[in-house]
Amino acid sequence: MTRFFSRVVLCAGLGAAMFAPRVSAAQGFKVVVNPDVNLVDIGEASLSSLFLKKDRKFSTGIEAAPVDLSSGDPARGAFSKAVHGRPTNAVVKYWVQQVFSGKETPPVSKDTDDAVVAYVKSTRGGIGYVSEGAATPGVKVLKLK
Amino acid sequence: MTLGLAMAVAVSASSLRAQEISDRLTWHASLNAGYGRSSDLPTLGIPLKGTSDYRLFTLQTRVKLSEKDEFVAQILNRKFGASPLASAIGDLTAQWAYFNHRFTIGDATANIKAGRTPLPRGLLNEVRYIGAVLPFFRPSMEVYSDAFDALDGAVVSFRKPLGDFSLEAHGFFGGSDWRSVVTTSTGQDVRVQRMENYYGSQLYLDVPFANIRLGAHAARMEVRTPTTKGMMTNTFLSAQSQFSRFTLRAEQSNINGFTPSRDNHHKYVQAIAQVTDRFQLAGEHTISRSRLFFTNPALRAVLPAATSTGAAGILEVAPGTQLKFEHHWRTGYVFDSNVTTVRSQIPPTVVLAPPRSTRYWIVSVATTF
Repeated sequence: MTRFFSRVVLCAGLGAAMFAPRVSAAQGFKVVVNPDVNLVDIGEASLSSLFLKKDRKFSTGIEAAPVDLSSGDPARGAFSKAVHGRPTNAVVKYWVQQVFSGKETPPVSKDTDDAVVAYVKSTRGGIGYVSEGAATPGVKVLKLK
Repeated sequence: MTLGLAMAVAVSASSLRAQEISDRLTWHASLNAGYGRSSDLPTLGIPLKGTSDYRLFTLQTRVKLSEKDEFVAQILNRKFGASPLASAIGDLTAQWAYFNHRFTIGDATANIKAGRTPLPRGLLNEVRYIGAVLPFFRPSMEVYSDAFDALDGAVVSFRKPLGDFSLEAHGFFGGSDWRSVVTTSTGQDVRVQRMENYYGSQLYLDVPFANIRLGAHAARMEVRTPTTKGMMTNTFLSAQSQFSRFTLRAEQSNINGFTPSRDNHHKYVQAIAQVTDRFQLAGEHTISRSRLFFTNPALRAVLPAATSTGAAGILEVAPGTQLKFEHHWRTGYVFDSNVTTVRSQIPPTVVLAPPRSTRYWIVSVATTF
């Protein structure tokens, strides 16, 4: 049994070393947050944890209220690859797995940049992302560390 | 005039209440439906002439009771062709119905579920009926079997970040069902057993490298049937890695019980490759070792390892909707028709019949909302 698993873990490790994903710099989206959240920048790992609801609070202690763009949006595709390190359909699959294993439900989803901005502006702890060229009145744009 | 005003107020109040309820209510559903055909022996409900009576449908509703509390219910509709298990399982069952309370302890998030709850066991137990997250129609049948798909009791769960690692721990107590087609010295038998005083834990460790997830599960339970009673243990080890376009998964389940015939060891390895954005290839190999039960205690026999090898092509036809074609080769003694396991038994010698084999394929569609 131990031998079987040590082989499997060894193979996984070797494979991972060969094909480890390269997280590209954030492009095609910008991260927006409610002005009450006292942050100027955020790390990709922290951002991923908030959007996958592995962490529920910002480092400042405020409860996060993430909002996604709909699954076909190009900005969501860029966000998924850069922040979660996987394509949007893998993230959608992650949420199906969470919902049907009785765990979390996915973040609220909005169809347009304007709807994301409006949600983030009006929601305490609101955090989302919009396409790079979108107007962001009333919300704060976070830098990615 | 007054009546009109009163009716308007009543309608407005009831529509507000309806709005309030609909704001707290969410619905999710999944469908996993297929057509299967077997070549030489009927297996897993799939007859030689084929069946379209092969379906798993779940409907889940969640009611948010407060920021920290919710009620979750999930109904399951199962049709599995000509399987002998069909006589032991209803078409429609309440798979889950539980109350969930969330809380925090320091930087750990925690929750307690009570009622009929999902059972954390391995990587896929809780989503075993959700085709949209599985590369095949179902997880490895030998490893997961038709058992422990829910727990009547309580599950307490913690999730705690450990630097870049993350630990998830679950402890549980309650009862569960085990339905199976088992191999005996005289052939196959359908068994429905109730497990009570079932307790144990499941740990997961998420490693910040190649999305590695490791799992360990241990449980002890009391078997209660009209003819048998005794304690059994189940250990379950899991490893999974998702990197680049690949997913690798391996799991092993060991069951040890109060009679030698209860000692079973099953394991599988699985690989999935994302060939294009919409197309995946998957392969799986399962090995299963079981002992044979004899009424004469002088007789003992370990069956030759049963194997199952599968290959699948998975096409994403729409977001969240997959079309799958899978082909399997299955060798062993557990099929849907009686297969000879023992040629002769003259104590203390047992002569086993050779294992049989069949091929089967399933084409299926899996979707969720």
